[in-house]
Amino acid sequence: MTIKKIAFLVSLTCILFVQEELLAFIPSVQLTFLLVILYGSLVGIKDGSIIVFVHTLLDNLIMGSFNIWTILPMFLGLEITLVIGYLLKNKNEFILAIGGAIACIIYSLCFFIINIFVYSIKPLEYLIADLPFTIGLIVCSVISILFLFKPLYKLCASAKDRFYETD
Amino acid sequence: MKKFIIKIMIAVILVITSGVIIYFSINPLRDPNEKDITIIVIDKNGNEIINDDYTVTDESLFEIMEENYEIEYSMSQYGAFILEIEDIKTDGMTSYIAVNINGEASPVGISSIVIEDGAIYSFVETII
Repeated sequence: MTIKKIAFLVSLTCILFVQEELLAFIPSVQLTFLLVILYGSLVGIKDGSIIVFVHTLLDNLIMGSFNIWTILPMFLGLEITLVIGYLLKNKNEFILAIGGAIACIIYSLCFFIINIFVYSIKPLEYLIADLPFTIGLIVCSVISILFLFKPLYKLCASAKDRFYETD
Repeated sequence: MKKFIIKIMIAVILVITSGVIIYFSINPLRDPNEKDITIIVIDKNGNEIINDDYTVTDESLFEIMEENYEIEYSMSQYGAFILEIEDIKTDGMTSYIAVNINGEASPVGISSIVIEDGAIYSFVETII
């Protein structure tokens, strides 16, 4: 891995991390799924996983939720999002938006499973309480992918051409 | 241009639909007969030993107390007279359980109290 490649991945990680912290005060409003799908399409699963892993650790450190039962579902959910982004690269933004919506549902399900089996929360009550946030997440992700994916992809792809060199 | 209009339409539909779903999931449609009440039981030392919220429909306060707590009562021509609620025990002579509605002494006995939405019913152990 070259220094330029590392610098490029660090830049992508910073963008992902900073936007999440900047938008943390508005529930469910974020560009995380847009960016993770973008990274999946742009740098692939291997390098994307490094970004997602670092982001997950940093985010939980900052937010005070640094424990395995928060890190695990978050990492798993974002990894699946990354894979969806990778599998759907070169597809139009409408298909990517559907992929983003599915990723949001899977992400919420990861937390659902942990909460049910680890914290013994009643499934129906959890689902009802989480429904508005999941819907918010889906809407925000779909709209951001529809409008921002293509321009961001063009921008990042040109940056990748300049800084990202394969070994 | 056509693609952009489709995106705008999808965005608007999503926002409106999700807004409606979120609104009704936070504020579910209510039965007009449903009433939210709070029941508080205070012992002779002023300690709150029960503070429960209920959503009720047609039950009377007496029925709610009977369904949800261990109570002892005597019946008279004026209706029920509660002597015991859970750990609070009175004899009706040297001590009794006063019933307050929103902090004011109830003008009628528990059997005649009509449930009001948002009301706080407190049962206070009172020593004579």
